[in-house]
Amino acid sequence: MRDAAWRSMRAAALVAVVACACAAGVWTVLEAAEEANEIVSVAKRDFAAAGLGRRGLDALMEKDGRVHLVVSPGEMAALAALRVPYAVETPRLVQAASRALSAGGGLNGAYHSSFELATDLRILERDHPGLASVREIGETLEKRKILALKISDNAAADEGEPAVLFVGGHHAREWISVEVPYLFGKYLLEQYGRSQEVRDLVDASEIWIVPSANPDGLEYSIHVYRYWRKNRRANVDGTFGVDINRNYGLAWGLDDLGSSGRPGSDVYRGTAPFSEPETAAIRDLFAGRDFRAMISFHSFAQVILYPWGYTTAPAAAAARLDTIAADMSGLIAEVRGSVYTYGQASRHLYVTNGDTVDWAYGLAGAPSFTIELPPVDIDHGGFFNDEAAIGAIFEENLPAMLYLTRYALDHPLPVRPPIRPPRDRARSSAQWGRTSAISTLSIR
Amino acid sequence: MKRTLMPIAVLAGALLLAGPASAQLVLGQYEDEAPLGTWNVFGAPSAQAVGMGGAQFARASDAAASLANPALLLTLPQLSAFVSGSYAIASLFRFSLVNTGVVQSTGNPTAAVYGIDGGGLAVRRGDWAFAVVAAAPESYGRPSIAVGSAGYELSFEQTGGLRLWHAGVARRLPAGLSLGLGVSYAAGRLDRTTVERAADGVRTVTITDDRHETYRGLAFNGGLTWSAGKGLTAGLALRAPFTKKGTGRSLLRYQVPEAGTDIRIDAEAGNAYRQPWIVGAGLSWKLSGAWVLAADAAWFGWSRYSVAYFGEPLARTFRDIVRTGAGVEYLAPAPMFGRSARIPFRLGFSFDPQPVTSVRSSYPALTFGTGLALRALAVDISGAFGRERGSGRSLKSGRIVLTVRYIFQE
Repeated sequence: MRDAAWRSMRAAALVAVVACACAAGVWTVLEAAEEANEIVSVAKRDFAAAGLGRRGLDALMEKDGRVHLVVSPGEMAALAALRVPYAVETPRLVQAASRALSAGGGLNGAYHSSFELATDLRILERDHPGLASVREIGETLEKRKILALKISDNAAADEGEPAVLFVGGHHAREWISVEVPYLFGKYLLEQYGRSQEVRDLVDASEIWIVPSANPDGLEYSIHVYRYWRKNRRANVDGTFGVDINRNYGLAWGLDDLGSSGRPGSDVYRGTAPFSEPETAAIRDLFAGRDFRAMISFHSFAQVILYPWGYTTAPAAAAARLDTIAADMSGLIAEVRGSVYTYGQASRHLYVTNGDTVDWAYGLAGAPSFTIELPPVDIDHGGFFNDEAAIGAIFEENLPAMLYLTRYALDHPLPVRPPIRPPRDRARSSAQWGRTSAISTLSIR
Repeated sequence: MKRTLMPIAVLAGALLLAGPASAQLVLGQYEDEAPLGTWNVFGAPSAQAVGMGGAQFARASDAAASLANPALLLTLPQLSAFVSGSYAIASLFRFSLVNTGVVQSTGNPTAAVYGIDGGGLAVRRGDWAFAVVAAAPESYGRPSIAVGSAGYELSFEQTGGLRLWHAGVARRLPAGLSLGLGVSYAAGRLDRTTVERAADGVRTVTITDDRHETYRGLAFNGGLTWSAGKGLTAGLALRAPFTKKGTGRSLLRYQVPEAGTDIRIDAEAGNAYRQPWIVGAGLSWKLSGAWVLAADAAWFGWSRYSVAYFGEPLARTFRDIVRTGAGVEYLAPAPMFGRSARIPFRLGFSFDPQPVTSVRSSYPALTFGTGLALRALAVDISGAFGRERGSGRSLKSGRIVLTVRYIFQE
């Protein structure tokens, strides 16, 4: 009886081990086949001579006299055993695919997601060694990297050259504002070897590009709610988000017209200046560098705004700022006739406090501008732009960006920062897309 | 003739009726692709198993066992069929637009789903047993949202589910052992639409975010049982990892008819959800003719779960978990209409930790069940009620399962 029980247990253990091993083995083979397959190419004549067409190999395509195959490690070994010369094409094709697929095919179409942007910035860095350097200037609340592309003749080194910043994506839903600075960086790198103007600018300066200052918000606007504006801070009252363009340190929280202390507001300024990792990243980027100008891209309205936003009183350098804005507006109009009006932010659009441009200008007097990109109004798309319009919007802004970069190189900042004028009051902005409180939800 | 046609008719009915009903208990895990209720879905337990804490690896009542441990098919009658349906009601707190920044609820929204969970047929001949099962183990539905005020509307809808078409085979081995293998073809969909509309008397702006996904995949499972004598049965079950692959289509649209504006952003891409290993072990002990104890533990390897969505990897930082459950059954004799009948009484408990690491939540649940077995027909009804711990939201859940089983040949 004891022997019978022992035999049962031994058989059970054996079968269990064999069953598990078989299942694991089968799966391991399947998994390996799925994960370790390679794309190889074989000369067409070798393909025919070795009779590979009859061996059930997975042929992808025929190109330039070579047959491309998807092969498992075992099949690759078989090719070697048959002495069929082959070339592994996977890295080259994946690289080509990553170029083709980035910023295309995703939920937001031709616009960049955070993942696509990171991929594309790394591709720019890889394709332009020496000229491009991608820096991680911060990390968001959801652990995404805030990336900056530095373009200079010796990008890896900090040489203390005059710097200019082009930043986009402060507001999550303003997708076009990510594309314009990104495309500017791409343009500079691709034209460096072809355009003397670009070469001169890049050699003499550090051009910093932060296409997406709010990657978490961007992802939320792609995946959950298209018109999301803020970052993804979980506020104490259960609402989400801080408007990071109200979280900078100049005139932060000055009043409740230019920002809000109510967490549920679309213009919630946060609990303290630079409380958000996104604004802290931009602040830290400025530290120790000679930033002489900046543009913060937003949408929509087709306007160029300059400080101050927090007060209707003019900035000390108002005349100079107005001239630069006028020049940029004129350059934009020359491309295809688009009209970008311009003026002091608080007077031309609405009052803001704690915004990027006021802070950057207040820091050392650097000419700083907000450009509200197309469309001109909600009738023509609001925060939407047709994918086909991305290139055209970039192209019309390109001369203005080149102009401001040149201006920054030619105009060192004054030694003393401008004195801030006294505060006043102005009208508040209207926001769209409010939080709604609900008590019940319908069920299907 | 009747005996031949009846199981086919029952199976055909089950296949026709099988829909994306909930086969889960608890809610509160918020990603769009999360099965409504719990991430930890293995098989589609029918009422008998639900009433005993979900224990399904060492004890079977019908062909649904093949989805968890096909070796148990050898414990079933020679020819039997079942059909199972459920009604589930549960609360959840954070999903999509709700409580993530756009729409705030003052309480936990509640979802209720009902429908046919599955049906199937089991055949045993000699040392072999076979089963075919259709089941709808996962639902991706969410409470729909419709909020607004004068001139403003926001709505959200999400529906979808996963169906399985399964075939299992079991073989009796020497020394009280049985081995079973199963294969399931999985197919499903997930549809999600958000519409925001604002009108100011001059124009009406409509923003539409419309997404559709279809899934398919092939899953393999296997199991082993050992009848140790004296009413004790041990079971071992596993499901190999598999990938739900499919196509995602998306349309983002901005319309202002008064201005002739219609901006469309279309996207199409391949999606893939790589489901993890599941390994389970169970024991059942028939104490006497009336009393049965059963207990299960299942390990879900969620740390290797991955998602590729519209060409991008999505962050899913999950942890492996072990789900446990146990229950007891008492069969009371109850002569009825002059015939011998039995009424089962079941009581159980389950503990279901969730893999999401951002909210460390677990769902303890009490289960119970009863029914009636009159000659070849058995009707079982079970309930499972739980309350979530960990998130601080006290999510509640309840589920009632009804299973009808008919034995054509003992």
